[in-house]
Amino acid sequence: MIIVMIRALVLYCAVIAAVRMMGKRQIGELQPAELVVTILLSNIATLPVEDISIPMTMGLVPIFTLVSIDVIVSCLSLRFRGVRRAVSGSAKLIISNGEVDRHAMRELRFTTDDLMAALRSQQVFDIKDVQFAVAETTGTISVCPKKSAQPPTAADLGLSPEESDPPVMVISDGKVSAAALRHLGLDEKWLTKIVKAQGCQVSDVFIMTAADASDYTVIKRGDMK
Amino acid sequence: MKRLYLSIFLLALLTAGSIFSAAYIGRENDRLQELCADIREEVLRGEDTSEEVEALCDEWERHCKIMAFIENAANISAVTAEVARLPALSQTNSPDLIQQVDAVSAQCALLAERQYPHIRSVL
Repeated sequence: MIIVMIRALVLYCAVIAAVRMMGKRQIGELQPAELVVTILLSNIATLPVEDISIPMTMGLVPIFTLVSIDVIVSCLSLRFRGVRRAVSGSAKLIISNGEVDRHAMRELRFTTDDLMAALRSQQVFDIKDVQFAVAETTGTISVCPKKSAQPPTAADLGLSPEESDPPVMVISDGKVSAAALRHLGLDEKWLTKIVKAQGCQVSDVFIMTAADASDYTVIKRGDMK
Repeated sequence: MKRLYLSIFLLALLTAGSIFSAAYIGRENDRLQELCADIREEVLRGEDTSEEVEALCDEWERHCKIMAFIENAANISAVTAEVARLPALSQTNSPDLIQQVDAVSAQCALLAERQYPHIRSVL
C-alpha cells in the first residue's frame, strides 16, 4: 500500500509540473490540442498508480512527452498561422449582420437550441438583438449585440470618467503583498501609516485593497462576523 | 520561451533515454543469448554446465533490476521464474535443460524486441 501512496505522490507532482509547464492557458478554456493532452494525461497518470506492476517510467515518459509536444506545438502555432489553423481550427461566424448562417451552423453541427442556449448564456434572449456571433475555437460563442440592444456606455452619454486600474489586494489575511505595493508605486511606510490610522496592526487586517494612495478599503478581522 | 526550451530539452532527454534503454537491452539480450548458446553447446558436448548457468543467472539478476524500470513486472517475473529453474536442472544434468534454456532465450529475446519500434509493436 505504501508503494501505491508513494507512486500517487510522485505522479501527483509530475502532473502538477506538467500542467504548470503547459502554462496558464491550460487552466482556462481549452483548445482542441490542449483538451486532448488533458484527457490523455489524466488517463496515463492513473495507470501506474493503480497497477504497481507497471513501471513508473511508463507513466512519467508519456506525460512529459505529451506535455513537451504540446508546448512545442503551441509555440509553433504562435509563429505559424498554418499550424495554428491545423491544430486549433479557426473561429466561424454563425450570425452576421443579424442573419444566421445556416451553412456555418450545419458545418459546426450546431442546432438552433445550441445557438439559443449560447446566446442566453451571454445574456442575450432575443436573436434579433444580435449583430454577429462567432463560434470560437474553444467551442464558446462570442456574441456582439446590436448597438440598439447594448446598454449605453459612458461615451454614449457624453461622459469622460477618469480611467483607473481596479484595486489590488495589498494585505491578505494579515500578509502584505510586496508585489501589489510595487504595482501601486507605494511602500510599507505608507501601508503602516494607513493601518495605524485604522487603529490596528498589519496582522489584524483581514483584507486591504487599494487602487492608489488615497483610494483603499480595509477590512479588519474584528469587522468580520 | 523558457517553457519551449524546457520542452525541447525534456523531449531530447526522453528520446536519448529511449534510445539508450533500447540499446542497453539489445546489448544485454545479446549477452544472454550468448550464454544460452554456450549452455546448449556444453549440454550437447556432455560437459558441466554449472559455471555457464551461474553466469546466466547472475547476468539476468543484474539485468532484471534495470529492466524493472522499463518493463512490466509481470513479464520480468516470468523470465525470473524460468531462470530460477536452471541451476537445479544443471545440477541433475536433466535432459530438460536445453528446453528450459530455449524458453529463457526466447523470453529474453521477446523482452528485447518489445523495446524496438516495429509496426506490430507500435500499432
